[in-house]
Amino acid sequence: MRKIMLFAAALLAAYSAEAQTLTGRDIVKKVKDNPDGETRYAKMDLVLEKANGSKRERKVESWAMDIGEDTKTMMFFTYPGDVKGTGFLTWNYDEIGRDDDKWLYMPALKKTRRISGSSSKTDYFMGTDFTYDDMGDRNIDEDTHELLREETLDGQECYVVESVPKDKREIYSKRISWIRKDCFMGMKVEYYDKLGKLHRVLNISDIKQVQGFWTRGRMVMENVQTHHKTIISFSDTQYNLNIDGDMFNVAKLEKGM
Amino acid sequence: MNIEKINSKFRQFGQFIVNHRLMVFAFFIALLVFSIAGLKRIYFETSFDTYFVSDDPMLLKTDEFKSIFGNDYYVAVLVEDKDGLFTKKNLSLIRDLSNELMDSLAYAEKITSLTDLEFMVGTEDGMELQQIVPEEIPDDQAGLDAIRAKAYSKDYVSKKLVSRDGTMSWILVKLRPYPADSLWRAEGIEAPENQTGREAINICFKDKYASLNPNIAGMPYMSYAKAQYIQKEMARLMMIAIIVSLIVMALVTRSLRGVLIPVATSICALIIAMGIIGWLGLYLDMSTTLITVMLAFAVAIAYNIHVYSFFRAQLLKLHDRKQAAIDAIAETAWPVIFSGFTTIAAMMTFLAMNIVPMKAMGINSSLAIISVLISILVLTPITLSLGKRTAANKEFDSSFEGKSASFFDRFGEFVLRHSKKNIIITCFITAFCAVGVYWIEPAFDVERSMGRKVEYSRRFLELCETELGTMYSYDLMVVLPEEGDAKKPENLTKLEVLEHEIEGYQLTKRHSSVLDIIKDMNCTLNSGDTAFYHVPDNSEAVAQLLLLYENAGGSESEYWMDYEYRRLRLQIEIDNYNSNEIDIEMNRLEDRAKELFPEAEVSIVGNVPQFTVMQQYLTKGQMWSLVLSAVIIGVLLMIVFGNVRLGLIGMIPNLAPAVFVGGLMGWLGYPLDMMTACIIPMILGLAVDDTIHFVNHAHLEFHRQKNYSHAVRATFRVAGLAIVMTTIIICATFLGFSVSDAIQFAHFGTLAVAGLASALLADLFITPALFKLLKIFGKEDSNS
Repeated sequence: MRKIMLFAAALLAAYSAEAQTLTGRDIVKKVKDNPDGETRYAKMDLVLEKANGSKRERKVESWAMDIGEDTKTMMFFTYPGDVKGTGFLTWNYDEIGRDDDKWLYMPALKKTRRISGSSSKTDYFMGTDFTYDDMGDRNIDEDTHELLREETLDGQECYVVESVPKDKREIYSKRISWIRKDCFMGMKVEYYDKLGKLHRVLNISDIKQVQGFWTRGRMVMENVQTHHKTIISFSDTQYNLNIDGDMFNVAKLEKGM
Repeated sequence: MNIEKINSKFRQFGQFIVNHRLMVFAFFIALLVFSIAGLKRIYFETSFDTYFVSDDPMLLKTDEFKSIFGNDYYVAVLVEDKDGLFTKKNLSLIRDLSNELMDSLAYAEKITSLTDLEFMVGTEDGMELQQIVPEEIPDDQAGLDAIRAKAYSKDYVSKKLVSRDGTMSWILVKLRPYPADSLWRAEGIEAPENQTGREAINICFKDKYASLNPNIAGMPYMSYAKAQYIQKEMARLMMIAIIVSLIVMALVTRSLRGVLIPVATSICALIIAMGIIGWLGLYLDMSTTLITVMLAFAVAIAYNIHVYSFFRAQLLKLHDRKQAAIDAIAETAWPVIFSGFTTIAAMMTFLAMNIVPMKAMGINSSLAIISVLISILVLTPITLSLGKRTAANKEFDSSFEGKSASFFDRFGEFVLRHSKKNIIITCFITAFCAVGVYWIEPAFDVERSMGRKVEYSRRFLELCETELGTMYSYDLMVVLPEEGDAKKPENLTKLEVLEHEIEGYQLTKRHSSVLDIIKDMNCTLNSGDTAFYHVPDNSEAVAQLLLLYENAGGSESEYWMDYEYRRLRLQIEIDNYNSNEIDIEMNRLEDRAKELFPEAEVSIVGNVPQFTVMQQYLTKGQMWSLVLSAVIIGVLLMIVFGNVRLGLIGMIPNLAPAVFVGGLMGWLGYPLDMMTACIIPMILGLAVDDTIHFVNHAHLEFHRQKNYSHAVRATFRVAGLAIVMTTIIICATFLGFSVSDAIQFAHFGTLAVAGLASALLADLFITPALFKLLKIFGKEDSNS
């Protein structure tokens, strides 16, 4: 979940006067460099929806704190009832090649387990339509970016940037992003599979400023080939809260919210 | 029916065709060109799913199952190296093959292989998601031994993935749901199942992977390989049929024109029929199309022989091609059209079957026969009428036709002399065959329908016999009353009871369910201690284990448990197919599941139950088709003979071959499949033609002299040669099937030839005997 927050925040940006001469890479860098406060809090409602209409819903509360270039996140599940109180702690390191640390506390088993190792980048995160790679703080130089055009999307002036992965093992062959000119927030991303067909579409809506930070309210990722959807709604988002750094440890995880 | 009136109408028709042959020919060519354009629109279905009609309960159940648990079709590859797979080279190749399958199969969703697996390892304070084979594959023995040890560290994982001796491994590619038929058809692209099968072959059989001896399984591959095989076999059988019938026609007609006209007519008829099918977007599949094509070819030649025989006899008398062609149409058009209608009536009874390819065969064969009739009525008189008058250099009596007439005259005498004996022998054979009918059983499996002489089938059957290979699978779906019920330990424990019980079933090779994941997670969570390889005792613990699994990157639980946690799925893979045994096992499992989950909805879905249902449809449909074709043909005979009694008696020599073919199937152990199911109605439709010719002539001759012996002998003189020759030619056309490597083709060929031959024998030996015995045309004139 922390990664979802990061992913959401990573696209936050302020308008720049030099925008008209920006390259594709410049635009993506501005998206990545959008400020998102030192600490963050949000409630998230996560709905997975199959093509046949069946749904799986989970709700979490999430706290995050930047410590230098690293980020620590604590998440507690509040819904459904049988996973209520389950906590998920992650320490995300900026250092290249260093794996994240993750712990999960399961109240029913009264056990905390450290999860190490990593799943394949092509695997989907928690059954969602977001891959681990989509969730991750992807280095902008892992792709080659090209500004394709400028166009209006839902009444907003946007840059349309194509990003092609340098590593051919990536799950997608390219992605095309629509980035708002006024705040450098992504509004829409299209992911194309290796055969060049449209695979997934991310639509971001309810973009607004909270405490001066650009914040997104809703993200819908749809796999257009299987028609499976993931809808993430954020609420009660807060920035720069007064959180103690000691909150992000296993003892606190086991103690609960 | 006033035959004279009908014939006079056809005489006018023949005159019009011959007198305006240039214009008519131009119209015919236009129709041909239009049809050729339609050929491009033809599409052959390969998926087994298309066999069901759109509102079939089994199809609806399967679709519901797929909408919950995803596509149940998969591509599986067995790799093998007798010297062992745990070498750097082999492991690298397995990784490359796995990656290529995942990247290049357009519908790949998830891959499981030795080098790509969700492998959870329990540690003292946590758990680690690892790969069995590390990113950098070691080349030292110690490193490779460590990989091997890890692969076998979890028995429940290794038994699905790698053989005990380490020489074989299984790569499984789960497929994402295929798009709706309407979508890919609208785009004009290849069918997803076909595409998947083709791509799997292109990848696995690359030289690069040859040392792994890849062997492919899964429905997409099987459907594609079958379609490819039938396509080649169809061309080969068609070639054999053309060559054999050319030889027979050359012997019969001893004329270039007599050989070329039937062949040209058949080819034109097939183009027109297939073109119309293309334009109308009708269903086509390889196996049943093969029958349609061969049937159309056979009847085109047979009908032409009737027209040509009459034309030749007239030409010998009149020496005028135009007049002989008009006479031929006037005298033979109605019997030929009526023969066509009886065959169409028989083929249309396939509409009574609840199986799409069988219905399609009924419609397509009928269209093909109509096209044959159009071609014969238009093209044949035009081509026969071309050329100069012939010289009067041969007398009828000294001709082949004349000599054969006197032979059949003597033959008729012989038949009448032994009429009682013939009837007794026929009754005995029919009774003997009727017993065999009870032993016919349907079969759809590869072993009994294609057999081991067919390359793709042999490879697949060999794969099934290996330690890891499986043939087919079926699924038990349990729908519990409330959301969240599937996570309750009491329900999971019941599922475990079922798993233990099916392990004792004769055909079960292995099974999979969400229990594999839950028990593995519980074990992993407790430092890999196998004492914890069980279901936790409270539902919160189950829910949190599943959450841990998902957070650790696990993604397979949704294949086995639905989003609302109401449905549980248990998949059973079998390595052998026995239609009776599998039926017993599936019913046993369903009953037991209903007993354990009394408040749940329980159903069995998947390929095997689809086969079973299809077999039931085929058996029931076969009966209906047989009854309907007998009734329709009986009614047609009554109408054409204008006499109920005569119509019923006319059915006797036609029902006898039907019983003979059924008995042969039972005694020889030939199963009922899509092809053999076509035989009896088809033979009824074809055999009745000879009866019509025979009865018509005999009726006419009897009225001349009121004497049965004279009527029979005269009939043999006039129609004997044509009746025998048409049967020989149709038999020759189907004979090619008998030498096919594919079992169902060989069975079809043997049964078709046996059925047609028995129908001919019945017409030659029984029909005349019945005439005399039952005095079907009335009393004889004692003075005659």
